[in-house]
Formats: sequence, C-alpha cells, structure tokens
Amino acid sequence: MPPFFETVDMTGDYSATYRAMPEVLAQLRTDLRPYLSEVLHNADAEFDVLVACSEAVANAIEHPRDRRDSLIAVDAHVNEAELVIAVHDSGHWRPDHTARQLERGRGLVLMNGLTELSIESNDGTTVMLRTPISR
Amino acid sequence: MPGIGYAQGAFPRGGKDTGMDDGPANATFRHSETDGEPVLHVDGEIDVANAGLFRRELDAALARSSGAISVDFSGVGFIDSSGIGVLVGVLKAAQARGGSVTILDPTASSRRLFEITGLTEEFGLA
Repeated sequence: MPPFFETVDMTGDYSATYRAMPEVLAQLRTDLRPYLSEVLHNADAEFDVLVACSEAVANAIEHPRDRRDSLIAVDAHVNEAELVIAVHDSGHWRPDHTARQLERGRGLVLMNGLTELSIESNDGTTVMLRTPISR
Repeated sequence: MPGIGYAQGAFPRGGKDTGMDDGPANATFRHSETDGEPVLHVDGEIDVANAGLFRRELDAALARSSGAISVDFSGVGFIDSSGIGVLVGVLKAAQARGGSVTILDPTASSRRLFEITGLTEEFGLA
C-alpha cells in the first residue's frame, strides 16, 4: 500500500480500495448499493449518492500520480443525520484539455448538485460527499 | 431493522482489492425506428468504461438518420458525466446537420441529472 493511504482514515462502516481503472466503477456500484439502501431507505437518494460517488472515483481514475500503483480508497460512515463519503486518491487534479475539462466540470456540477461537496488537497486529493439522512 | 454498523464484514473492508474482479459497466443497445427516425434503446448502465461503445451506437443511429434521433432512456439504471458528455457530443453532431437528439422516457433519477447539468431543453425534456 502506498504511503499516502497509511494516513487515510479507513474505519468507516463501508470501506474499500479500488484500482484506478474504469472497469472498477461497476464493481464500486455493486458494492455500494446495499450499503446505501440500508442507510438511506430512499431509492432517489441512493441513486444521487451513487452517481456522486461514481463521479468522484471516475475523477480519481483520471489523475493518478503513478498509474502503475494507483489506488482509490472509499470510506463511508454515518455522522448523526448525515451520510459522509470520503474518496481518497494519491494524485492531484491537473488542468486538462478543453473537452475533458468540460466533462470533468460536468462531473463536478453533478457531485455538487447531488450532494454537499468539498475537495481537500493533501498528500493526494480527498473528495468529501455529504448527504442528509431522512427517516 | 439491523443497525447501520457494518464492521462485521458484511461489506468490503479496507485493503480489499476489487480491481479485476468484475467486468465493466453493462449495457445493451437495440436499434429501431419510429416514423422513419432511428431510436436507440439503452438498457443498463453507462459510465467511463462503456462510454465509447455508447458513442459508437449513437453515431450508428445518427448515420442512418436525416439528422434527428431518439434515445429510449427508460431502461437506463445509471449514467454519469461521461455518458452525458457523449450525448452532448452527438447532439452537436446532429445539430450541425440541422437535427436533434431526443431523450425518451427517462426515469425520474436520470431526468434529475439532465436538470442539474442544465440540459433538459437540449434533449427535449423541458
């Protein structure tokens, strides 16, 4: 495991690492769906969070620091009435060529519109997605 | 109901490498025609892994059209910004020929993604 991930909190209720390749996105969704269903009890909210999380991981897939050894860590937990998902990757988001930038911009718009989004740059990049849990 | 804690391993825990286990996003495509205009029926999920295939299917429909195509979205269970980006690219190609791309019968969830990205009018969903 690269050093960056030793600093990442992976103690959440849902915690998994994925390789930075597009093929993992379907697996991520398969893994996350039962957890989101259990926590959110609302098909619309589950879909929204699933899209936002998939976008965050897709972004991370696009900009690994070192493609040979890139992992993405997804860690989710419930904090009072809120579901908090952190997506960590060891790369940095770079300025991009226009077409990809537009598409990535749309991904950010989706994450921001579907959840409460915050992005931290540390040794890598951490995307935090928050969504209220209504009961 | 069971508690919200999943510490007992019901879900993947840290360190599990799921990278190569499963195949890419799964979608099937079917072509038909309504009133002489091509309709692409999409069933399944669209993401970065199969966005290229989605583009080729749309291009094939557009190639058979006089400019206007429709995409049956009733079976789309998931789509992300890469899939939406593909639709926008094909829309531009269609519009360059004086045509259009119309999204048919999206689920409420898919529709919300078009709303958030400000694309409902472009795809005839307004």
